[in-house]
Amino acid sequence: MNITVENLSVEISGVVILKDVSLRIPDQSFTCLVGPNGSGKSTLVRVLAGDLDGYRGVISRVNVDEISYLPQNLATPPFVNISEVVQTGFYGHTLSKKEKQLATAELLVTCGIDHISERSFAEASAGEQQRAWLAFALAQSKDLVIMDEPLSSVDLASRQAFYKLLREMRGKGKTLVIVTHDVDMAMRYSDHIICLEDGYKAFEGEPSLFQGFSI
Amino acid sequence: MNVKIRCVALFIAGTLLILIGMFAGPANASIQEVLNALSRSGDTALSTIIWDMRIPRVLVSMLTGACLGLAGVLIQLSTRSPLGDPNLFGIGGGAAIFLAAVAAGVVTMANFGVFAGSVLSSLLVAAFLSFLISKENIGPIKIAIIGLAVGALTISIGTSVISHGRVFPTQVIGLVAGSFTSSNWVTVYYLSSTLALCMVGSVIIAKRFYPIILGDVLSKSLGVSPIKTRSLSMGMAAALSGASVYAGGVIGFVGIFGNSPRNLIIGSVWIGAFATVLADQLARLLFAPVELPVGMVTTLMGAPMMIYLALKII
Repeated sequence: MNITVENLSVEISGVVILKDVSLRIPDQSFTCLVGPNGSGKSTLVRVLAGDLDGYRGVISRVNVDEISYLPQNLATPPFVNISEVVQTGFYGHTLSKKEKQLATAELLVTCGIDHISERSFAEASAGEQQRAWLAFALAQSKDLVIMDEPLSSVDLASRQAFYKLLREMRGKGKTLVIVTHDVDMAMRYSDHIICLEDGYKAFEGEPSLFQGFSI
Repeated sequence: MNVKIRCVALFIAGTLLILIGMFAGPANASIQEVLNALSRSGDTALSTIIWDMRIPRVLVSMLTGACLGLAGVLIQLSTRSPLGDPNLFGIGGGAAIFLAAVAAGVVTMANFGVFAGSVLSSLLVAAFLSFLISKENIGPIKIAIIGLAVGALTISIGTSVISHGRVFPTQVIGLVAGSFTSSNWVTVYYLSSTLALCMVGSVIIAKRFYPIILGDVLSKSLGVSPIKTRSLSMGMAAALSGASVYAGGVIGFVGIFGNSPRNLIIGSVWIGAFATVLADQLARLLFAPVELPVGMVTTLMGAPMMIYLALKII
């Protein structure tokens, strides 16, 4: 299902964050949302995820219950290991314990972290933690996955591997929206780029047509 | 497998401690005499010492430790901080203020009234603490700092009340530093019923702790209310620590020994019980016939552990 946003404006305590933004997130696309700091990327995804009310404009979207949203700067959970974090994504599902364990094991393999499933989450590397969060989001089995700046502190090789993984996910019927600073990766792996600048939409379209930020 | 071995080791060591608690002491009785006293066939004085002092004391210290361990893990899981301890966070301090008022003669009550008052006072402090930390997305470090400040506050109020009432020093030490010398069977019943109720409650809400540990935003998206779960956990932690302070005074640090949603009961209840029986036997026998406050021994064990956790995990 395509998501369309029409004339979206957001004002938070007197400051205009988004101005008259219209865009489209194609079904089963891998969309990257890029733009300089403070351009309104996080606010846009918060509105999409239903985490922020008080906007003007029209959003046609799937039910909030159909979205798995991972906000920026997630605190590292204590006490638990990688596989427990992933399995928590199944919380509330009607699967039996055994089925959840099997599905978790499968996701760990998909995301390439099955070899460290028993490692304490806090002791895993930033790249491994990010893969675990992705597996967690996938465990929620929602059609739309939104991740806000998942890879701010991860080295190039892991970033590349992570984007490849995301591209594969899209091939499996998921719609992905990733907020990122990483224009290179977005141009290489995504199939739809939306660029925000200073609250306005500066670009939307195929990665090959994107010229970079204008400011 | 590893967990099983540890459980068996814990069980054997615990049994040994219980035997030490029953057979060793200033009364200097032989094993045969103690066995006779246990079957109530020998010396009646020794029989009284065993049945009305040593056995209740071992049981009370065990149950107190179990209560503190469970309370600790409830606080830790619900606040996502490995440093949660009911007595360091002032929840037990609420009961200490009430018991100080009783000791100072400000409040006069029968046995059950004192127990209920302790639990209620702890609930009040827990409600206050929950209010202070109820802001969404408050981090574990802030929670720990606020908790420690509330803890210091309750202890200073408690000691002020007590010094106002010209209470005997041993009673004061027993309250603020912990002591099981006056353990009796009534306390065993109070503690075991509180523990049983809260264990059932904890097992019921145990599953919710996984989403909670991932943080408030994700927890809500998984359909688990962080504020509700935190309040429930704090409520149970309050009942547990109120009961424990009624039984043995303010004994710090026991709550930080076990911390995992995986082994909620084994990791907290059993380790807490074991650590406290061990601490009490050390306190009782190390310099016998002079006794150390048991809270002093748990602090010696727990404070380095807390420093380690603070450096390692946070």
